[in-house]
Amino acid sequence: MKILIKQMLQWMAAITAALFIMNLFCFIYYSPFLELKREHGANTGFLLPGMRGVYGMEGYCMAGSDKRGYVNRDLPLEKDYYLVAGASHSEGLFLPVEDRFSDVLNEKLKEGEGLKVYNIARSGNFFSVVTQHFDGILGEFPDAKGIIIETDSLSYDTKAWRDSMIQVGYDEGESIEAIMSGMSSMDKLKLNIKRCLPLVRELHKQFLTMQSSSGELRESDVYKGDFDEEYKRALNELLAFLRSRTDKELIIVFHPAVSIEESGDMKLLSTGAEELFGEACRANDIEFIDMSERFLEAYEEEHIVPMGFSNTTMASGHTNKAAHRMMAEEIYKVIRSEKESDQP
Amino acid sequence: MNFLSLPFMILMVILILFVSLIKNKSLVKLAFIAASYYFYSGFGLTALIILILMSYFTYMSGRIIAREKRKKFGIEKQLLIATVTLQLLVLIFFKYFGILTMPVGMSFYMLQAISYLVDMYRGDIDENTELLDVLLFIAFFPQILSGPIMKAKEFLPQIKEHKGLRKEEDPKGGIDFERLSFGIQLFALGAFEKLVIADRLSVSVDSVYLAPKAYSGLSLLFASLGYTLQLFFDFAAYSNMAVGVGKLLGFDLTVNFNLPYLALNPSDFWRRWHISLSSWLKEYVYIPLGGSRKGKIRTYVNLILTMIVSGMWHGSTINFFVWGALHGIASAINRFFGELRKEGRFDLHLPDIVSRILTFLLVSFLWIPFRAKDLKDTLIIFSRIFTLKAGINYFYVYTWIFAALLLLIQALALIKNKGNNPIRVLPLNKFYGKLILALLIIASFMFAYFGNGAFIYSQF
Repeated sequence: MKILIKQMLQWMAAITAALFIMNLFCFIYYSPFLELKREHGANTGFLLPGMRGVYGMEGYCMAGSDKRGYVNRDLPLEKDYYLVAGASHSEGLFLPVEDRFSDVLNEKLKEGEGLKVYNIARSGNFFSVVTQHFDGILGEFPDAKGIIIETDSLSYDTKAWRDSMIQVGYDEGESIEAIMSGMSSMDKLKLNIKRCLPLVRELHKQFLTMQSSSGELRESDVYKGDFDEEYKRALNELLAFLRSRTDKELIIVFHPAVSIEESGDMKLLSTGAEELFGEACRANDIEFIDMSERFLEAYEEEHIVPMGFSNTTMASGHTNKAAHRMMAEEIYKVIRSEKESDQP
Repeated sequence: MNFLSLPFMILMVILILFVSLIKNKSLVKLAFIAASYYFYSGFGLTALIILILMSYFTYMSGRIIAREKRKKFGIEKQLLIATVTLQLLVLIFFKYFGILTMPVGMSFYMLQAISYLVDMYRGDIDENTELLDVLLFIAFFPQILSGPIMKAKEFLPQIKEHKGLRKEEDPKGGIDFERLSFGIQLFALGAFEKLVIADRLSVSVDSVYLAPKAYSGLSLLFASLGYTLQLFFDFAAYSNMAVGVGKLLGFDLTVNFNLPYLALNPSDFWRRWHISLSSWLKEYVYIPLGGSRKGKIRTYVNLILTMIVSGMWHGSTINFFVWGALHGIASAINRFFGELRKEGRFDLHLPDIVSRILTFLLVSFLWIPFRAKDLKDTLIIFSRIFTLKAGINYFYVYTWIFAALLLLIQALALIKNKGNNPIRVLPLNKFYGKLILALLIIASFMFAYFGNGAFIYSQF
């Protein structure tokens, strides 16, 4: 009996020690940001301010959240700043922070032009979510000079385009200060416990992955309908709507997913809506950057693939360093030309 | 049903309890057969019916061969040839004609069935072997999908003397905790090798081999290294799990691997890789062909023929034929120089480390036709590698990591165990044994790659 109890205690101690060791390892492998959800604002949730997030499952990223609850290096919001809104590609939690297109752009814009780029992207905030939060963005960042919206999909049907106009608005009561000060001691304790136990979240993520067989969740299925007059009308309504809300510069950056074909060619996984989208943008004084050609050129000339990392597969998952650099260069060109056209 | 699934775990718990509590051997055998058929039925009812029919055919053929042996002018040899030919024809029909989908594991259980007939003919097994024993031998679920391939003369006595989880020296009772602990550890190690290493490596290997024209020569070389590792860890994982499950149920299945990438030459490689198949081929193909008893030239031919059989057993495409033939030629050349050295006509002796590296390179390059979609892709890959063609540069991080891990294990094997597997059973009565096992299990789930659960060898 004594031996049995001793063995049981040893097992418990061994399991606890193993969990502790693995939990420590998570701090350099997977320790994601804690999110503070909200309904009314520039995006769907803040990151816990002052936290360090580590993501090692796809690419590798060690980033910090600023005191406003966004994934930036705590840049001051200067007078002429651009906002970057979008989903996980823009948030860039698979790259070193300095390689994200918003940060590359920041570096480029530092050179004497006094502009800054502030990243408010959040995983899961696809194009329709960003547009639904458009008033929220304007309310939370009234001084922004322009808004850059990144998207990897233009694959929406007419209903989705129209639903994207339903605004959630901005509520001061859901600012980061209000959320943080409204937290009870118990809530703060829970957050701190979660923060200290990344292993629990890692195992939970693994469990969800094991259960789902469908891979990455996407906002919508690929649009298979016709690009008829009704479709064009809905698309135009949305973009006209966005334009009507503000006279700030609006830039939409589209980067298609790609695949590597057996022939050795790289194929763009586009839906065919890009051209229509570009026309509608031009009609509504919105800059549209389509990365398709740039990606193809980079592949044909230098065998550079815009997606994939050395710890995942090529041409799948998120945009990599090369794609971010290309996107930054294309956005920079647009910003520069607008800057030049602004000058007397 | 997958080894790494909840239904399998439940099945195992029920069986272990049953084996531990029930002393009636026939009941235990019936339980094993029922469990095996239940496990196998997950791959389709037709597959199960074919398995049962083949098992019964094997049993009846064995009885007839045994009966003929007792007669003065029996036709047992002719019967053996006829029945084995028939079994091979069934296998060839499914494998080569592609009219019907080949039942999973057929390549493995057919070899076991043939071994039963040959062993019966040779008198290596009891001629009064019961039907239940044969059914269990052919369908035993831990190894039916990918081996280890057991010989009848090795497995049938184990059924007869089966003691379950009880200590051998204590037939009255008393759980054999050493066996239990060994079984659990082998299973855990196999799960880690499969989920964390092999499946993760498959991510890069599959994508590169899908479009080899897109990748640079160096990336292809690196992906080939990745496949070399993936195949080993995937198959070793299955074998470890199968042997582990066998241990938990009271059976000792053949250990299938002994650090094959440490082999000194091609023949040594086959003594370390898929040991149960190599041993089967040696006993039922190479030796019946004449082995090394009929002169040097015939020995080389027999080696090449045996390896071609091995290649064709793996698959029906020309790639497998090429792979087998090249391995056969490599073994024959190795034997040729070995004999010259013995006769004192060849004096060059490479340092062991160089021999090991050269063998590793040879084996790794020969895995390319084994993995490539067809001969055309094989040639594309080789030409891109040797001309260092430009393309996507893709060097998968985990290939580095797992290559380093294997290198470390191999270095340990060389230093501590004369080039043999250095991994020992953990003492689970000690704290550190428990800690390492707990770390292995947590790490298996934490770093598991979910999305590619099939074992490579189950497709053969």
